[in-house]
Amino acid sequence: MLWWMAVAWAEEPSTDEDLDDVEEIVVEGRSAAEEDTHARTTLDEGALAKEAGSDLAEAVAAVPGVVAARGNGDNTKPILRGQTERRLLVLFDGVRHESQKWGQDHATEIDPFAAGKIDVVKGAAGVRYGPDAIGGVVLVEPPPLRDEVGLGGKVQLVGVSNGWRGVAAGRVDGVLAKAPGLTFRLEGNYGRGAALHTPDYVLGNTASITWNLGGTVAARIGMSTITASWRHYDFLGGVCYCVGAESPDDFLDRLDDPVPVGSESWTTSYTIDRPYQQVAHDLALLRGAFPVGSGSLQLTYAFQLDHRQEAEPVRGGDAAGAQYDFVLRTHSLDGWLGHGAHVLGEGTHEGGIGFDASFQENVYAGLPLIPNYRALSGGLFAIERWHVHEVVIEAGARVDHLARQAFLTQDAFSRHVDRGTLAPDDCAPGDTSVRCNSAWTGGSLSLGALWRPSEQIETRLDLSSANRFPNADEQYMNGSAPTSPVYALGDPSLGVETTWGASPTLGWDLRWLRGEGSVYGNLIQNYIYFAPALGPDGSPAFDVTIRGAYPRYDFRPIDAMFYGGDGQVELLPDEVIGATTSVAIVRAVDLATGAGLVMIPPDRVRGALLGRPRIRGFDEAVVQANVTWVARQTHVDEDVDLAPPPDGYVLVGASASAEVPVGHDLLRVGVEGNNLLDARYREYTSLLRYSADEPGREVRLRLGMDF
Amino acid sequence: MNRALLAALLLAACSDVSNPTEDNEQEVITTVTLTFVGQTSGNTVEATWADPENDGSPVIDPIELGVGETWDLSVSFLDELSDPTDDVTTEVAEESDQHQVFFTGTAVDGLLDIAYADTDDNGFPVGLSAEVTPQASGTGVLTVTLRHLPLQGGVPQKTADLADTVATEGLSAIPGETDASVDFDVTAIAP
Repeated sequence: MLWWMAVAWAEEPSTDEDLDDVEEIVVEGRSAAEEDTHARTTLDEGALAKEAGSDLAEAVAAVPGVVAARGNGDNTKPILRGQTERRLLVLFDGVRHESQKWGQDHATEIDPFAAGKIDVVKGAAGVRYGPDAIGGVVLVEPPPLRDEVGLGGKVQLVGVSNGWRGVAAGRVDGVLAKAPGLTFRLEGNYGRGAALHTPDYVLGNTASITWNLGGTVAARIGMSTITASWRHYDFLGGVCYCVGAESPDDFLDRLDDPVPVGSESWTTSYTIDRPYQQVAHDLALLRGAFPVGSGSLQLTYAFQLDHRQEAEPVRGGDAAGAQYDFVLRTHSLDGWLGHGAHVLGEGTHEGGIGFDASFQENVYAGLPLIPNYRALSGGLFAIERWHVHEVVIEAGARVDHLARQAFLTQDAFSRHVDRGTLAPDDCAPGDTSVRCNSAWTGGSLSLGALWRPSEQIETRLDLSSANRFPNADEQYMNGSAPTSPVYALGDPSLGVETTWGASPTLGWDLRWLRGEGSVYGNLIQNYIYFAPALGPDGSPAFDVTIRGAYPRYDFRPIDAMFYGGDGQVELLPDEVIGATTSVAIVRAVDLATGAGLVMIPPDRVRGALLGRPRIRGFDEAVVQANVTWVARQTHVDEDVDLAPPPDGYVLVGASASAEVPVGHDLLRVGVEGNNLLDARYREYTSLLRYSADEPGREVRLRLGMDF
Repeated sequence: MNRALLAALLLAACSDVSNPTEDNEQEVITTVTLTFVGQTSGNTVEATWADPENDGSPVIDPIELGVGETWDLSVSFLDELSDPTDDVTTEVAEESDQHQVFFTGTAVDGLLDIAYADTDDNGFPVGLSAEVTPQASGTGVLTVTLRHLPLQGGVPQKTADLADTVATEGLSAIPGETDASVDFDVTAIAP
């Protein structure tokens, strides 16, 4: 039964690249990325080094179609093809990342320094990765563990001018001569930044401290491997003074202020004051990979503990502790049984079956936002892939189930009953709480093809579906978040969100011109849309609270269509002088009304001129000048948002980087300038945009050594 | 679903999940009370804006004041979600150098004259006490706002002339967090 209830399987079966011997068991021919029928971009270690010291979203924002959406301080979240983390699955080392990811200012609690590569899979991918993979998947993979006796590793130092941020990171990999079957890794980093500044003023209280620590041990026993690892992520960041708790009237009055009220006294300080957020995330995992006949079996157990605290400016100061406290505990078990490649006619086929199961508990203390809950979920899936000449065809199917028990306070339950969103007999009263049960089942299918008609051309077509079950906040929220001047009302009766996506991708490599472009269309049925509620007469509804009249927003199912295209072209990729350009376009509409949805990134184009000078003693030397143009978002129903979208903008940047071999080691150096003209702008998808400009000019220096 | 398995898993689970609490050092104000005492008549007029469930369904008393005398106003703030009820006024008074009550709305535009009657340690007005003098008979809306002005990086946000700024440019022109902002209907009645 447990088998049946399993949930979202995490990563494809090829994650056990830890040791060469094991890799041979499961990897046949091309890598998973090359065989993926989705549009997929891989950021390798070199690309990630350029983003060293950034958070995860900023690190993947180099991928066309991905935008890093700023929260209310030094924190960002990824948006992929218009989908935020509610509908974007992030996996670290094959494990679904579980946190309070519904919050727009809750940055993804993953350390980019721990990544050896990051794959961005675009488009619905529910069969392979499980629920929530509506917009796509971000796969963060640690670098392979060491397999030869000795020690190796890397150190990195980063300095950033804006906010005077400094980051130091290190990693050591080793295999001891006494135990050649045992490989280990230790890694950690620490970064601290002061308040960021815009061209005209400091974003008061946006200082932050981030640190990470991790360790991994893997043992090879015959043809099997057992891996154990633990990671801790820690973030403490101030919330900009500029997004303080305001009444809706003040909020609207301040939209046109050229500078935030009080900003003249804000300084570039490392002090973190109230309001602030503090997040600790632990991931412990145990994985076994075993040969089974010509195939392999992989089992992963993981435990994640996510603890988020948010502190408001309160009477009594620091003695009052945090005003919002969220603890999320997640146990998960994933399995994959893959069969080896079999000959079938003129080709071969490979594939397997997988399951995943998870048990999750949420404990929240604070003003009514989300209830405590306990959830049990599981999924079962099968994928087969056929290779015939230059064609790969992949088909898969999956079923998922989620059962959730939410524990509401009597007051919270009464509020829902008063509002008519719950009937008195919908839930079961207990001694200390009211228990409300919900359960959903969803199925997803995928069919994809990859065809390489020549060495220069590659075409992919992906037809996939994915599901998402409603979050507890979407069901039960009844109140106002401190930094958002709206009164949010959940709907306990929400159903499963299902997307049906089609995405053809064309890639080419003509030596002088290399690129990949993809277009897509995703129909999302029962898309849970957070938008202003309307009163009986069709005008916006308001809730009168003690802090003023708040516009009421609710979560309601609509049928939505997301479509667009993204891609990148490199001109003369191997010459001394070259150029690149990338484009991303997303449209999202409510099919019933034709209105554009909110929070969809506006069109963006980026172009760069590159020089690759050949300098003695330097490898991979690159100098670059780039321009990013972002349009004003005009494809949106402005009545739904609290403020009209900001104007478009142009940013200019430049960079230089090189690798310098030093004996057997490799030194990586780089300098980058972003927003060099110190342009004043606001970003449509940033939470800061209602109250302040985005940070201005920054220069980053980085130094890394592989040894 | 396998009930035995579910029961086993739920028993193994921590009990903190089924004991939700909203008490977490929260700072809630549910009720604002204005008490007017006539300086000559000694009459008392009390008006309350109360949302004891904090669910956006307030009960609001109208205010009726006689023209021709000055009224001593005292303002209090309660958290009725706490048991027992928490009198937030005390905390505001203790941190009066970081708080100020503002009186705005159509009622201060010719209907009522309101003068601060208390000061903090710096000599700046607080607004828990005020003198209210109706100017003429009529009606209006009185908005009472409690602004929390905590130190930012050690720098005070409360300054001497905030009330003047609010009078000319509105509440959005001054810094701080809004802890309460409520509207009362006011009628000034000729004797």
